[in-house]
Amino acid sequence: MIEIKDIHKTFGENEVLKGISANFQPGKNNLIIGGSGSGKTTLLKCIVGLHEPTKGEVIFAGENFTKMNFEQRVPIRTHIGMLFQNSALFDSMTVEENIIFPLNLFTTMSKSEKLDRANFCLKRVNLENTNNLYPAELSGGMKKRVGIARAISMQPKYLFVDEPNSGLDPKTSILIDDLISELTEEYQITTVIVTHDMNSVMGIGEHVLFLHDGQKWWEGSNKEIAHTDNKELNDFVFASKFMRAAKAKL
Amino acid sequence: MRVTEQIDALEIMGVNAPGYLISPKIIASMTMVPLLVIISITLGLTGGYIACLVSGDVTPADYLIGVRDGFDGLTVRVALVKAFVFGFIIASICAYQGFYTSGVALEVGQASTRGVVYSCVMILFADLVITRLML
Repeated sequence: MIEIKDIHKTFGENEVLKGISANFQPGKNNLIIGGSGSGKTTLLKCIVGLHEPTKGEVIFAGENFTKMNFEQRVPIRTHIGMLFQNSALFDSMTVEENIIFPLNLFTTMSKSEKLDRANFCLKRVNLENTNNLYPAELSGGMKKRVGIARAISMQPKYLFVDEPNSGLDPKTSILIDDLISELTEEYQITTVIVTHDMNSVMGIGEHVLFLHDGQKWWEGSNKEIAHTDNKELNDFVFASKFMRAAKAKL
Repeated sequence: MRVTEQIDALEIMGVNAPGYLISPKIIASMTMVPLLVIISITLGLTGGYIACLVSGDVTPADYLIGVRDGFDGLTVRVALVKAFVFGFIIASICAYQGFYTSGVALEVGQASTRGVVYSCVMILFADLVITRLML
């Protein structure tokens, strides 16, 4: 479980996060949603340690991540997998080398074991026989899937996903959402997804955190969203005619 | 790498990204720039010998005598020390600018320009200091 307590983050005079607290449960898709500039990516970066919170604590399974130095964080980081908005695959490495990279750093597996693990991860994301391709030779959806394969190669307890649907067509977006959801349930991973894609929210949002103006504005499940009277959340979720029509039918 | 979040990916994995990315560049540069200087000195001397052979203005024997007579070991040492220091300056400044760049492609270009300009200025300064100290 991940627990965040009273997270504040300030850049210069600009206070982006204003005291956010939440719990993220294992085996669930925890979605952080909100408009552009609401602080959702900043919150994600504070949780994984890419930004240091100005105030507040991030606790991974009872261990206070915020108070740890770089070396102390390494054991927790080996349990973290992350899929970035642009996939962040290493350009100079093949698909296979990208997946094996964390295994080389943190495991004592033999070469054949690492290859088996890479092949397993690639098979899990339906990308067999792409081992020797470079990221530049992959489509956007394939890059995301390789990113997921790399993220799960170390069998993480925590999976962080930043805008998994950006730049993808609706069909591929659903495939990626379903894949993340399946992996979360299968391996009981604590998954935190930052998104503003409403299809994702309604499809896999078991636990949704809505940020507005740097604050936690609403928390609940996707089933509760349709019945909330929170004005900002309604304005955000049901901004399109299609979503308003869908809500009217509920 | 910064702009495409590859450095963030390294940090998430628990890799010391500055050490992983910058150290090899500095070591390579401090090793290879002196080697390039040695190669260029060798090629310069060889080129002079070939020019003597081809033109016939100076005999190869006179050229070799001239090279030996004018040889001062200190100048070679100074050249190698400068190459070593310049190698450090070029790699460290450029890698620092690249590592801490932010934003999009425009900022990458600006970081490259800053890397070249700061390296040039620091090389001039280091050149002055080494020359004053050694010659």
